Amino acid sequence: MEAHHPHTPPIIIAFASPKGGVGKSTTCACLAGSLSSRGHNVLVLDLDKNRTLHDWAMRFPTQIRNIKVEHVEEGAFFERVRYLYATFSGTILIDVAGMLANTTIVAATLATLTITPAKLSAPDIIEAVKLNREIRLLGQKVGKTINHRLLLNEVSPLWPTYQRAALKDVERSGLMAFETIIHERAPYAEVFLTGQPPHFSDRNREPVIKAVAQLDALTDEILAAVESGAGLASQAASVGEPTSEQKAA
Amino acid sequence: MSTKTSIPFQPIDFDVAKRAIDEITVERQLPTQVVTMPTPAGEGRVESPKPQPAVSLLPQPSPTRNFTVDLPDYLIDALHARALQTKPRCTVRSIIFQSLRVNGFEIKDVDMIPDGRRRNRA
Repeated sequence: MEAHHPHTPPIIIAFASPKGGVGKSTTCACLAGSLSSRGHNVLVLDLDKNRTLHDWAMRFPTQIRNIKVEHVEEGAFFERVRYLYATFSGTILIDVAGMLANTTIVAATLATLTITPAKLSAPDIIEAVKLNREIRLLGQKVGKTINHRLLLNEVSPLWPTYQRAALKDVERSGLMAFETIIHERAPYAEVFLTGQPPHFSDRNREPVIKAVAQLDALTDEILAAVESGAGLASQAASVGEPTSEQKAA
Repeated sequence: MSTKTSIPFQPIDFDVAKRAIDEITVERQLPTQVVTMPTPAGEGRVESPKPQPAVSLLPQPSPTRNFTVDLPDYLIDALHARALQTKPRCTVRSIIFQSLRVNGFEIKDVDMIPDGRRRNRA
């Protein structure tokens, strides 16, 4: 007799930024590779009108056979996630278009974790702060503390002055950022050239080894943040609303 | 190596989420896109007007035809040298036109193009 396994809802991770060119698609592809290498069932939803990730999957079907990529039209996005939530088990990564739009709000509302990649430059940080403000307001409306993290991306290992200044801005902003910083490395950019995320590239190359190590550290942090996000979601904590303990007191 | 994450998720109430999202989208005037179903054979499709070639409002040079004259070598060299020395540089054609004008021939201003390359940009 076949045992009945209850459906486990997917982990939903959204990559959102009101600004384009911050590395959402690249990071999304690299993380998909990292999660896939750990045995996760990964589905990428590409909302970008440029279909960067969808085209990537079309061009390199054999290199990324463990990762499914699907382009979703903006107007169909909510219902698609609702359907997948009921039917899909695994990890859904959402690549949201680089602008503040309805899809950004949908993704942030439904995601277990929303990640905003940003370079260490003033315009990227300003936009990340703006999005965080919008997300906090959204959380109040939805009655949920939205789990939002900043990911510092394409950081130069030489640490020029402008990067150090921008890092101070990040610290002052109060944004929650991942400790892992993604450096500017060739294997990340090569994803769209060879089709292979660093975890599936030639692991004997020194830059690939470094990229994989960074991605592994980031993946650990992301999974920990997802877990904390699940904790946040299970609280009845909307801003200004007392918790059950406070009510009892 | 972890292969599966078992996390006690709070189920998403999609109806509540949808209402909040719609409210915020209207309130914040966020851009949205409505899904349009494909129509058979372009039914209901509005044709955009075809682009028209740009028409210049500036007066156009007069039509021309080819006219060949044999000149002494030294005169040809002198014409080329003059064209190079004139500031700003001009064409041999414009030097000939100027000389003809001095001799009483009527040449319209629009045809007096000092730099031949500009003809192609008109």
